[in-house]
Amino acid sequence: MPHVERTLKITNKLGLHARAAAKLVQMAARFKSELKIARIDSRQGAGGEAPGNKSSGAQATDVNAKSIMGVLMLAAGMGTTVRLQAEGDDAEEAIAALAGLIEGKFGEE
Amino acid sequence: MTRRKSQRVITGIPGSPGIAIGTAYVERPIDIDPLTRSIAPEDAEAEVGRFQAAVDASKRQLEVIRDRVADLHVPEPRLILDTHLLILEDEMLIGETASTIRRETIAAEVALRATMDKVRAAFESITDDYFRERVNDVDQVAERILRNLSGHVDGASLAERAQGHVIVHHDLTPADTALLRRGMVMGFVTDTGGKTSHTVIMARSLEIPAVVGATSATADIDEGAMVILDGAAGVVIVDPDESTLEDYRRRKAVFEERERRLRAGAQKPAFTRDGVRVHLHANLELPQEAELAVACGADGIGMFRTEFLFMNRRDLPTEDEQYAAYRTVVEAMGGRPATIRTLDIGGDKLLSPADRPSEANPALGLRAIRYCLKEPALFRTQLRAILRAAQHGPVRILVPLVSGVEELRLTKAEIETARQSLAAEGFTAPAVEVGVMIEVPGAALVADLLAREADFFSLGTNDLIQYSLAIDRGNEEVAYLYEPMHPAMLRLLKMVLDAAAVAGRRVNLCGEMGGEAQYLPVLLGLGLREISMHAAQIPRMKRWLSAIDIDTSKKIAAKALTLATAKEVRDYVSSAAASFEPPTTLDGI
Repeated sequence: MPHVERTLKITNKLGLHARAAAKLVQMAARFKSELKIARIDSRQGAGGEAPGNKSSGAQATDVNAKSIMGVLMLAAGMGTTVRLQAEGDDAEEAIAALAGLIEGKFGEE
Repeated sequence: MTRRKSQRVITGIPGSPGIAIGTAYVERPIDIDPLTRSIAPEDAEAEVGRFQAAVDASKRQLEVIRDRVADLHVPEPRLILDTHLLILEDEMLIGETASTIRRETIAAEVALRATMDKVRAAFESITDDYFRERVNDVDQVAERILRNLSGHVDGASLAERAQGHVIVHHDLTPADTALLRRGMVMGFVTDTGGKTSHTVIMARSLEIPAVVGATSATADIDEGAMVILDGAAGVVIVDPDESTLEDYRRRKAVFEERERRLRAGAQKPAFTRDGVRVHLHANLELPQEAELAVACGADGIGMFRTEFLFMNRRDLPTEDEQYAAYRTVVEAMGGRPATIRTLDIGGDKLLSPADRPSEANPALGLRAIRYCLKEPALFRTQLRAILRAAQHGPVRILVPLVSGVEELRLTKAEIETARQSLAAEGFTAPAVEVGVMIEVPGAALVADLLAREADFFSLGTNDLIQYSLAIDRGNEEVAYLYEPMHPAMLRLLKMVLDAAAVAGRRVNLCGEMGGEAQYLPVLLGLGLREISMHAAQIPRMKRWLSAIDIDTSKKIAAKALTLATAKEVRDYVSSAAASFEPPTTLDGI
C-alpha cells in the first residue's frame, strides 16, 4: 500500500472553517485511500501540549480527513501547519488533490 | 382585559441588523422522553436500523430545504446546509452512535445523547471561538435526528407558523432560518447562539433582524406579547411603553430609508467627478449571485466563473445543466451583458485525478484554454450551452490563459463548430463577442496583435502579477513580492490599455485590485474604464468614482510611471488616492 505524506500551511484567511472544511471532506470522499490530517503547530511540537503525544518530531492528533467534525475539531486557523497522510492505491492523487485545495486557498481569495 | 405588564429589556448578542416591531410567536424546546431504557441484545440491529432510518429522514428533509434555498441570491444558506448534510454522514456521529447501540444495547436516543456528550466535550476544549461554536451545528443536526426518532416532525414550516410575528425560539437552526423570508417574518430572537453561529450568517444573508444568545428569551416572553427587536444593538424590549415604541418606530423608519437610498444610489450609472462614464461589473462564482449583482447596481457580469459546475462531482455537467446555469445568469441580468468565462481549471481538478498524470508545475501546465482545446468534446459541450443561453440576453465569451493569437483563433474555430452543430439542429445562435483574459505576460506583450482579433480584453491581474514577477502568492516565503504596484505591472497595464485604445477595444479589469479604492485613480489615469469586482463592493466604488476626476488621475498615472520601486509607487499612489474625498452623506457603506 503506498503511503504518502505531506506537510503544508493553511493560508486562506478563514482557515479550515466550515465552508473550507466541507470542500476538503467532499474532496477526500472521492478517494479510496485512508486519509488523515493533523495539525503540527510549533507550540505543540515544542511543548507537547496535547496529552498522549509521543516524543517524535511529528506530535499531533490525526483525524479522519473524510470527517467534517474531525476536520472542524482541528480548529486550524490561518497559519496553522497541517500534515496530510494517505494510505491506499490512490494515495498520491489524493494528497495532490487535497494539497491543491489548501494551496489554492479553497478558491476563496 | 389583560393586565398590562411593564417594559422589560432582554439583552442578547447582536445577530443581524435591523429593527422589528411586532407580536411574539414563541417556540420552546420540545422535551424528548429522557429514555434510559436498555434494549434486548437481539433487538440491537433493529434499533440501529431505526436510528439509520431517522438519519435518512433527516437527510431527505435537509435536501428538500437545500433545494428550496437554491433560488436565493446568496450562497451561504446552501453552503451551510451542505455542511449539515456532511455531519449527517460523519462517522464520528453516526458510526459512533450505531456502535454504541450495539455495544451497550441501549436505545438510539440514549446512544445519540451519549455520543453528543463526547462530541461536546471535545469541542469545549477548543480555544478559538469560531471553531468551538461549531458544536452548535452538530447539536442541531443531532436534534433533528432526535425529532425524527421520536416521530416529532413539524408539519408546517416555522416560517408559516410564525408568519407576521417576531419569532422567539430556543435554538433556531440554520435550516429553519433558511426558509424564513423578509417580509414574511419580522425578525427573531433565540436563547442560544453566538456571533459566528451559522444561524446568524443565514439571517444576515436574508436581511432579517436577529438577536441571539438572549438566554432567557423563551422563558421571559409570552406568546403574543408586544416586542421590539433591535438586531444591531442585540436588545429585545418586551411590552414597551408608548414613548419607547414611538422612538423605535422612528429609528426603524430611518434605518429603512438609509437602506433604500443606498440601494437606489447604487442603481445610478457611475461617473467620475468630471462626468466620464465608468462601467462597474460584478464577478460571479454562482448563478444565484446574479440577483445580488443587479441589486448592487452592476452594469453587467464582468466574469462569471464556470468552475463551480465542474467541481466536487464525479461526472461532467451535461449541456442542459450548463445551459440552465448560464440562462439563470443571463435572464437575471435583464439585458445587461453577462461575460461567461470558459472553464479555467486543469484536468487534475476534474473527475478522477488518477486518470491524469500529475504535473510538476501545474500553474504552467495543461489548464484553462489549453486543456479545453485538448478536450474538444468537453469544450464543445460548454460552448453549445453558452451559445444557447445567448438567446436570452447579451452574452460574451471570455477565454482564460490565452498566451497568443493562435489560441484565440483555435477557440473561435471551436465556437464556430459549436454554432454549426446547433444550426444543424435548427437553432440559430445569436452573435456573441469573444474576448481574451490578459493574464499571461506574453499576451500583454502582443496585446496589439490580439486586439485585432479579440472583441475585448479582460485584465486578470491576480495571475498577471504572479506570472510577471515569478512569484506564487501561496508560498509565504515569496508572497511579499506579490505587488500590484510593481513598476513592471504599471508598464504592462499601460501597454495593454494603449493597444486596446488604438484598436477601439474595451478593457475590463477583473483582478482583486479592481475592488480597492486606493488603485482607482492610477488605473483611471492609465485609461481603464471598466472594472469588475465582487458585487457588494460596487456601491462603495461608485461613491469613490464620483469624487475622482480624470485629469488629476492622468497626472497621478504619469508620475507613478516614473517611480523606480514598488514601494515608491504604492506610497505615492495611495497618498494621492487619499486626497480625493468621497461624499460621506451615506456613512457606513
